[in-house]
Amino acid sequence: MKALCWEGVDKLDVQRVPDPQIVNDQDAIVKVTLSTTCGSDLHLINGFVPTMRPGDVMGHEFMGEIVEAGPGVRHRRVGDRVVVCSFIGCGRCWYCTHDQWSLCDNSNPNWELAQEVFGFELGGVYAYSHALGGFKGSHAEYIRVPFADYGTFLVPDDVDDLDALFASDAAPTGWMGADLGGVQPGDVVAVWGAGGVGQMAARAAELLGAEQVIVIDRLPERLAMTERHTGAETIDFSTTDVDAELRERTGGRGPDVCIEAVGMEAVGGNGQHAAEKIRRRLGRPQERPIALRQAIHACRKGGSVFILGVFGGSVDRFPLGAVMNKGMTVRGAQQHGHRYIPMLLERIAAGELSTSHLATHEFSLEGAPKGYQMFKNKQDGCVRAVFRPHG
Amino acid sequence: MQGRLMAAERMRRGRASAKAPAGLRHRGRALRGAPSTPPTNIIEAVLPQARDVIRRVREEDTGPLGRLLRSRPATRRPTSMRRPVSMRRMELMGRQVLVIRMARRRSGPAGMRGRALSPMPGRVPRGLSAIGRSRATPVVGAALMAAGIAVSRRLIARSGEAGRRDFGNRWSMVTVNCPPERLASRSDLPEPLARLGDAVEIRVSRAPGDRGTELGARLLEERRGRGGMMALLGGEDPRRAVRRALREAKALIEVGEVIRRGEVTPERPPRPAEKVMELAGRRGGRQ
Ligand SMILES: NC(=O)c1ccc[n+]([C@@H]2O[C@H](COP(=O)([O-])OP(=O)(O)OC[C@H]3O[C@@H](n4cnc5c(N)ncnc54)[C@H](O)[C@@H]3O)[C@@H](O)[C@H]2O)c1
Ligand SMILES: [Zn+2]
Ligand SMILES: [Zn+2]
Repeated sequence: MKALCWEGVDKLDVQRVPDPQIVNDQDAIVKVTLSTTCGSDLHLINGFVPTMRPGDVMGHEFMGEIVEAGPGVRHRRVGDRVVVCSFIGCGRCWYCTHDQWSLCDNSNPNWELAQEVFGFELGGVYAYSHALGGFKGSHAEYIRVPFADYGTFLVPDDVDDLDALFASDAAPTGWMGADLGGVQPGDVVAVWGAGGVGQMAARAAELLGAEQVIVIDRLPERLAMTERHTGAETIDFSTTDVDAELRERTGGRGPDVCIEAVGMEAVGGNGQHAAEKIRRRLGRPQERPIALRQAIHACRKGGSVFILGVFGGSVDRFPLGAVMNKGMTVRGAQQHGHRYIPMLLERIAAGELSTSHLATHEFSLEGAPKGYQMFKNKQDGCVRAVFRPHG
Repeated sequence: MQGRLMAAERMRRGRASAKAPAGLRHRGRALRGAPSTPPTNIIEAVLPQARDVIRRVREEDTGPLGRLLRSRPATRRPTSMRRPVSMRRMELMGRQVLVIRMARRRSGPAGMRGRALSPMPGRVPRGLSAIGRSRATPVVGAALMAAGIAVSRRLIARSGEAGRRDFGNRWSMVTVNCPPERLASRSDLPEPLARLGDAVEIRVSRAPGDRGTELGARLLEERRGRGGMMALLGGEDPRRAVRRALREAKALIEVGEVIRRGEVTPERPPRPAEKVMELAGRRGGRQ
């Protein structure tokens, strides 16, 4: 079959790869209908994530149809239209049964490798390095889905493919940021990043009762899209002093909950970008917690910051003093999608949550490298590039 | 006065520890040796704490590292003049390598750098140094490891942290999401553990709160690292095999299967340049 492969930093290529097979009894094979780009992929493409190997198939946000089910699959059948959570959870370990699915004990076959990096391993995820399982991704005609009874979710008839697609990753990630960030009715919530994840976080905060939601980015088309599809206000950080603006808009208190949906490749700062280019060329990119620093600084006393953006190792100049002295709560997680996806599909069906507007561009698999180029460079207002492997 | 005391203290401790980061001091001290003797066994020289494991590797390992060690005379005294700053295991050109970063050398024969450390030339391939940054001169100690020698994992996992390294016969533990009754007798153990037979002791206890059951295993003292166990496991490091068996036993009890990687090998082996790129982005959480 054809698949989009990671071939090295800044190198993607459509290649022929072996068809996936049922490896474990509880696996299913899903024929991919739609698969999309995620900001996380940019960290892979830009060389920030270790243990990628040439030939790794990209893609983790997808939906499709079950075409084969292993003998251990009980609740899914061939022909089911499903959206698949980007993280893989066994459903029965302590973490899964406590709704912390991305921390699953049983879904990462490369646990030894991951333990070296973080002390303890996290669960498996599609196409996100060998430390996170080395699973093949969804930018392909077919994909192997382990623990299919738990990782696939039936799409209700009144939800179409494109709406369901983002229930795989962007929507549950955003929801988790608002939920575990502790958003309460009446709260003021600030979200850094107006990509797919940030927009979903903003909408989730509103649905959880926040009275005021403010989204921060610099791309005018994304800010406009955010205002149109969520009830949030926006700030353009390239022309505004974010800290001062937030203070003014929040009665001098600062936001109660700050959600970071930018990650380790945040832009901003003085000359950071040029230095970064050189570092990348030398093969040693450095993580940039610029938005995170700003969020911690802007957050109210005793407030909470939730880190959705992906970080991989250590960061420079983390404002630990502010965290400690302001009595803050800082949390982060890879998404616990299984916990939210059924509820999100219901909300999508009920028209409470719009997701398909994120799909600004569509390509065949052959066009995927182009799609990534546009997504990475934010060309032509690209927010998410969507691929249709079967045309 | 204060300054003189500190200087005296430095003298007493020896040059090697003068600037060592706190967590590495004891190691620096152990490394002090006669600088005029060229190291005959680099691995022992840089890893004095690992001597126990290295002895076992020398005696029992059938892989390349075992052969390398057997081809050299065993030394009793560590002889390196430099102190290791960090050690990490990583994959290089498809092999497990122990990367040892050494402090800047102060004196000594110029040719030692490469020789002291290994079958591989002493230059760091570019990009490798991305895994750690310090004032030290990066030198690669490329002890080609037979895949998965436990010592490197242990050392690496804690390198840079304060505290003693210990190589006692620890229990490997997992917590299984099941009631203790599920593991009431030895016959309840799933295959991966059962297969280890009486080479291991097993321990079962209730975990605190709702956390399930703690299941532990460790090699029996007398079987530790001796030939029989290695043979049983087809040459694999026994402690690693115990950890894996525990992990698989847990998976079998909890979900009835052990997740497999499936097809992971790329269709063609990565070219060296790509391999370096793979490593280039590689950073851990602890530097
Ligand atoms: N935790 C999870 O499970 C999970 C899941 C999906 C994505 N993510 C991560 O979330 C982050 C965002 O994902 P995405 O798909 O929306 O990516 P994206 O690239 O589409 O969006 C990132 C946005 O951040 C903006 N930005 C850059 N620097 C900024 C700054 N200093 N302040 C404010 N905004 C800034 C960019 O302009 C861009 O619009 C990524 O780091 C991604 O890896 C995490
Ligand atoms: Zn994602
Ligand atoms: Zn699990």
